[in-house]
Amino acid sequence: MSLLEINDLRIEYVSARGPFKAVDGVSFTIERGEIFGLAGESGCGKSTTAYGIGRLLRGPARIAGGSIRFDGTELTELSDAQFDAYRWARISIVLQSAMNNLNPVMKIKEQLIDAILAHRKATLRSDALRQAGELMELVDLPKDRLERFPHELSGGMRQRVVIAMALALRPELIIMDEPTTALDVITQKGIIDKIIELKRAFGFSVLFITHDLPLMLEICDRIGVMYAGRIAEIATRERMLAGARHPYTQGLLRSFPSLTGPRVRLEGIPGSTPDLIAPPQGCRFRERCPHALPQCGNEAPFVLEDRDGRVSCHLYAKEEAFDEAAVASP
Amino acid sequence: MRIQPSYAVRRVAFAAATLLAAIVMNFLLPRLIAGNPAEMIASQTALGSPEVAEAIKKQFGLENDSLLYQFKQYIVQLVHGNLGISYFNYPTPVAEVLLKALPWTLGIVLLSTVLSYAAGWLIGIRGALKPGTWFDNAALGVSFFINSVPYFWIGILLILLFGYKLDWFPMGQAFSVDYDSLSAAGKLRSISYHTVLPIVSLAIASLASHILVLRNNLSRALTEDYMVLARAKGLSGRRRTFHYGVRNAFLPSFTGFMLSLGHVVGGAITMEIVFSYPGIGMLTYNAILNHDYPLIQGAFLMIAVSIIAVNLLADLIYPFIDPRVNLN
Repeated sequence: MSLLEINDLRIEYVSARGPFKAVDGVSFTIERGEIFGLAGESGCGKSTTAYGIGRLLRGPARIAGGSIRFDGTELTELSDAQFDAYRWARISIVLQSAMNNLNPVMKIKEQLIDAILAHRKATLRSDALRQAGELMELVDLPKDRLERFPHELSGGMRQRVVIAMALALRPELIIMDEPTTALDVITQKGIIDKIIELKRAFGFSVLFITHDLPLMLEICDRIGVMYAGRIAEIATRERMLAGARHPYTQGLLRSFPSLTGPRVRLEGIPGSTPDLIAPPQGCRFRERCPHALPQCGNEAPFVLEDRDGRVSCHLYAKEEAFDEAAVASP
Repeated sequence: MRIQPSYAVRRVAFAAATLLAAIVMNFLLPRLIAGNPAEMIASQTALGSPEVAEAIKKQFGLENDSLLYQFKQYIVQLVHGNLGISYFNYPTPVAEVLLKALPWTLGIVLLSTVLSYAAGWLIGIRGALKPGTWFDNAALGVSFFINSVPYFWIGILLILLFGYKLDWFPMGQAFSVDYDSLSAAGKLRSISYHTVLPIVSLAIASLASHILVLRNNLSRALTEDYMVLARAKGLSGRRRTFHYGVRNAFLPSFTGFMLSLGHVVGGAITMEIVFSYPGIGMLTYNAILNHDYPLIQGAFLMIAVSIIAVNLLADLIYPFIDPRVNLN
């Protein structure tokens, strides 16, 4: 059994023009000990998916349908009080490393232990503080930083504190939403190495969200690429490195420069994402797709599923008639 | 949080420098106005001989024309707690006149300030936590209305309704005419009874901005990332609301409260006039009308000292509620 099974998840934001379908039929699984990446441009629904899993949606958002099974339990059926047992203890979250991740007027130690004390009510304060010290060691921070306030730490240190905090109750799943985006490259490298090291030590799974595909190719076991509220393609890292299959993923990969490969002109993807209040029929990427076929306009994309992953695209409908090399090589 | 010594020293030094500047200004300003008060009093009191004028001049410390000499005298007298003699209430010392009016002002302005902030904060917090509810909408609507009418108008309206039409409360003054014949409990009752309308008027007049400031800041704090994290951590609603939300949103409101406290001794001139209330505001107003310079000077000095003192207090408390200010 997978740790997390998302099936046909739909999340809407209420708007004056009607429901905005930010997540519209998303399915994927995360295995135990796996790092699963969710990529896509801003507004594709990757963060909304993660916040929906963690029951952290804010504003007029609601889960409109689908299922989220965590370790065999259907999370969408739990009451808020029942879900509290899952918060942090089994699913924790690391947010974007901006300034305001930590409460500016509370000492680091208080913020590390309040989750422990909230869930393990019998824990003595002194025990919680000792655990906080151990957590700081895990992320290579000196213990005296416990007495500091967030503004007295650097951005990288603050993000290490947040990661230590996420580990406090040894959760099975950690959602990481752009955990290194606001950091410089050197600091980012340190944080990523630390995350991988800790994952090996503790065996948690990670739902890793970023728009930085090259970073994902480095650390994720499998990657899901979202476009306009849907998953275009899920592929193992090996498959991605060998060449993505969905035209959108190919376009995304061509939008990043390579340091070692041949010099190629960065292309980007022309056009913009469709309106998610009244999404187009058929494939949502059709209008920007260089390989669009007539049936892309009205038929839902063909779904090809194999051991490499899953791709939703009409190009793969008739495999024998399809010359993969013509599409796959940039 | 520990206050760093250098921070405290800097704040105290700054307060001392401000105080000195206030005293110098206070000394110079009346002297920039032409005229000789001694001769004026001597002529008004029908004792118009040059000898009397000379004696009065000496009493006011004006016998020497040198500003430096007068300033030295002024400081020496200040140190001894002598603020001079009121022209209008001659020969009552200024300090005595001020001390007589101070309790009345403190009574209504201090109480109404505390009341107004407390109510404003509670309403603001509730509104921000449940935005868009009837409570929040009503609080916002009333706040904008109060903020857009002149504040003395609220006093006049309350007098008209509860003083004149309904006759529940007196329409002015600080105590009833038979005050002197009352027992101690009766005096207290009479005073309390007379303070209700002024306190309520002052509190309502300033309530709106306290509601709006805290509601705004709390609404913004609630959308910060650390609030999402607090929710993800499964912290209780109370801890999230108060330790994470209100704690951060409260800082500007606290500053506002301390500033208001500094202004309390200045009284509420307009409201005191509307209610014929014998406080510092009324006293200052009359002193200005009567060209009573020593009294004006004394009142200004008292106001300056209290504002500087409360600001210093706020500076020293601030590091405890916002660790970020205790910087070098």
